[in-house]
Amino acid sequence: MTLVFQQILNGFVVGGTYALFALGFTLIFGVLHVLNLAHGAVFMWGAFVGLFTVTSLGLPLYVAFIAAMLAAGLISVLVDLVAFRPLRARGSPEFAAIISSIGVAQILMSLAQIASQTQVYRFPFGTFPIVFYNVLGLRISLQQIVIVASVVVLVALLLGILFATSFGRQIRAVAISERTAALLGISVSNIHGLTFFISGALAGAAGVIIGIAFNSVHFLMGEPYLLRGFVVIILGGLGSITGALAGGLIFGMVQTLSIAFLSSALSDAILFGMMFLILLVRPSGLFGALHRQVRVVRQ
Amino acid sequence: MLEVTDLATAYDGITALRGVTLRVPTGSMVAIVGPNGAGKSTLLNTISGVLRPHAGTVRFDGADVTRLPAHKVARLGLLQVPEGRQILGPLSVEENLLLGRLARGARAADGTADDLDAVFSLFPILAERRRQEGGSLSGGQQQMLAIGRALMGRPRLLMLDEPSLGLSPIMARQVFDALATLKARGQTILLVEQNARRALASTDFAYVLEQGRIVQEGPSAALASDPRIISHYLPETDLSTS
Repeated sequence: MTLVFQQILNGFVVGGTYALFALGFTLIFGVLHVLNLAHGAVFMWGAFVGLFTVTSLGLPLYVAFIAAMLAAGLISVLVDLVAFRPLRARGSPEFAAIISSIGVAQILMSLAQIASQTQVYRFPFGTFPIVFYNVLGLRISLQQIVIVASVVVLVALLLGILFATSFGRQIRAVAISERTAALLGISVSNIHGLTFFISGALAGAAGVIIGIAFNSVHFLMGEPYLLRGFVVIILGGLGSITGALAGGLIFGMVQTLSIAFLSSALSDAILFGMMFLILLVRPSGLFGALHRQVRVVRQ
Repeated sequence: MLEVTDLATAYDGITALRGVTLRVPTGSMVAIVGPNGAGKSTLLNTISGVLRPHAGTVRFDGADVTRLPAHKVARLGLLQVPEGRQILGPLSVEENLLLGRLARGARAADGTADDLDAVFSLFPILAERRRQEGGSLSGGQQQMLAIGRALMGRPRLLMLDEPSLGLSPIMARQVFDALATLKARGQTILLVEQNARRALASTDFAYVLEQGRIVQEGPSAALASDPRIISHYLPETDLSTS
């Protein structure tokens, strides 16, 4: 029984990182109504910036974390400028934006491949102290505690920005109606840029956390996360903040439990099967109809 | 204050405005009346920068604002209360009002709390409902919220697109009473209204827009007694008025 609880705990930690990744993904969908398929590449660059800040510049991890968030945020704004804004200005269909974001993702990955010489990098030994605690018979590492704490802080920060600041109000206004927002004096393109920055910063944070947790940073690391992030936001409901959080946690726990008790080969089949089931039974996701107030998506 | 000259706009490939010229002097209340589809909303949206004209100019306070994007036009104090009210439904009444403050931009950064109070004293119902979702209000209350939201931006010119559309006669009267109060305070207003009787009764000057052209203009009182206007727009049994 302890083993089950141990795995649920591990799944919770992993799920938190999925949630962090998915939050930025769902935020862009909620505000701009497009899927940013370059989100995985932004995440990967966040991991690299964090890594290089530690290895090349020799700076402490918390600096790397902030640097990764800023850099990934800026890269994400760049993705908006290159892949989305020109198409939006022309009034192209949403499908075109999906294709162009795939294109930007490929370019970002090629650049990372060149920069990393196709190698898998690791954070140097001792970047993060390896300490374990025993709580009620469960083994909890300091790393897990820090991961959960960072996720909690970042989610609180995101909710604070969205629901308690003028910028957050403007983001939600743009999500509901771009025209009304513009008539109120809101610069819609600036708000789009801000949304991409926040989304990218969250992805960058997730990149560093996952890079450390799995001790591996490479140019392809974003792809599986993009696919999983997709499942997570479908589980939770596209554009729903609560949904991305809950979806991430559920995904992490189901994945961890199915790897532990069934087989790792089967876990993806279970997770994607879960996605099909949700699409059939509740196409708007688990939180589609419920938490309307914690939803940025237009109606 | 507002000078529109030879404005022409095509919308979805159809020419909706064919050279519209009008002016709104400071402190006046001007109406644009005309049938459905005459181009009234297109005119306001072109002035607001939502639509791009292919000819003509819009000058506001002497400055050319013809090709300015909508949010910059709004920040100059040229504010539109759009047709259908366009309340941001999931946001609270107060949040809707606070968003309205953005349009104030660099103009008069003082007295932040006073604006909310001023709107609440004009529309007390909004104070009662301030924590409620904007979308939960009735149509008339939403219209008040939309006007209040625009007032938060301290409009130099307030443009209203069909403020009585879909409202009960009692609600419509309340909205027009509020506009009369604003006018008495010196607010410059450009009113687009399908209900010509009500529009002509409450404004100083009026333009008649038909098929994208101004076909008649004059003091509102004069137009209200013009036989052609009466036969076209002021039928004896006007069901929409009461």
